[in-house]
Amino acid sequence: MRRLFGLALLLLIASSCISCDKDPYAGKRPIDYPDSVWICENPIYIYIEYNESNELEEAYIYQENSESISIIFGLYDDTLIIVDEEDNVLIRFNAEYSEIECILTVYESNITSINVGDELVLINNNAE
Amino acid sequence: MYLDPSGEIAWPIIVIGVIVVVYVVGLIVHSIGSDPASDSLYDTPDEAAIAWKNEYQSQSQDKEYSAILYSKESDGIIKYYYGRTYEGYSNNCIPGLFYGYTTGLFGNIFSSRQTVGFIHSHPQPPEGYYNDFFSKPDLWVINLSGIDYMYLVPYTNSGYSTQPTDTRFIILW
Repeated sequence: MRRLFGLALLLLIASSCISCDKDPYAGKRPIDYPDSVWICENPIYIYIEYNESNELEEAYIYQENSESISIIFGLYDDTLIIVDEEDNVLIRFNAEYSEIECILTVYESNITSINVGDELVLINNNAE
Repeated sequence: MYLDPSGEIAWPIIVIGVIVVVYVVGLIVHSIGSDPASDSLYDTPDEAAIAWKNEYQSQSQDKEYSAILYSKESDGIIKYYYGRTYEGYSNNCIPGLFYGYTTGLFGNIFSSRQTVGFIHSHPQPPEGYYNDFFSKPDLWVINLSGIDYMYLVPYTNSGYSTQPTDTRFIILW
């Protein structure tokens, strides 16, 4: 009977687990690292800074001149979008996240110097 | 108590029994928090989905809701409606899909209705995120037998998403 209760408990725990899936990218995106600065230098310059509260402190893209941007992450998804101050989408990426770097592969671009398939790497300058 | 005259415990029977008990308990628990199916019948799946959206989009700020869509013949005409609506969690509606879909298939045996689709909502995303798109698990659901249409009702229109090219997937902002 004890085994039966053990098995029942195991199945109940298992059934509970399938009802609480986890965001596979949680804790890995740049926004998840407080007080961090992420920089891409090539083929365009992108600067992203998060403060101690994980809020976007400053972000800009430098083409012919500096332009403020916002970074939007796909929830439960590997996409990352860069939008301008008017909320227009500049670039859409698929991202591979890590504490040290963030590898971005372009799948839509509204910037002439960036093409679909291009790979950009954001380096975490505060990573130890 | 031994279920097998040989003296061995019949583990397969016990496992099946426990699964059935877990399923029934889960069904009861989730049915208590769910809303009944729509009384109205609609001419198209889209109309049934829009009616569901009008009812549940505003309730979805913090959690997901979901329902199975059905068709049935009424006065010789195929009509559509949504089944029982299940309250989900902040990030998923898996139990609602699981119990709605399985009990729906069981109910289909005893009626003229058919499962045609699945509709669910996405809650308001945190600052800096967007979620008004079908996630990868959402896209998988179309593989279930009878699910020909998938509707998504996001609480928030980010402006960053577009309608999927696959016309079986429809976002109702």
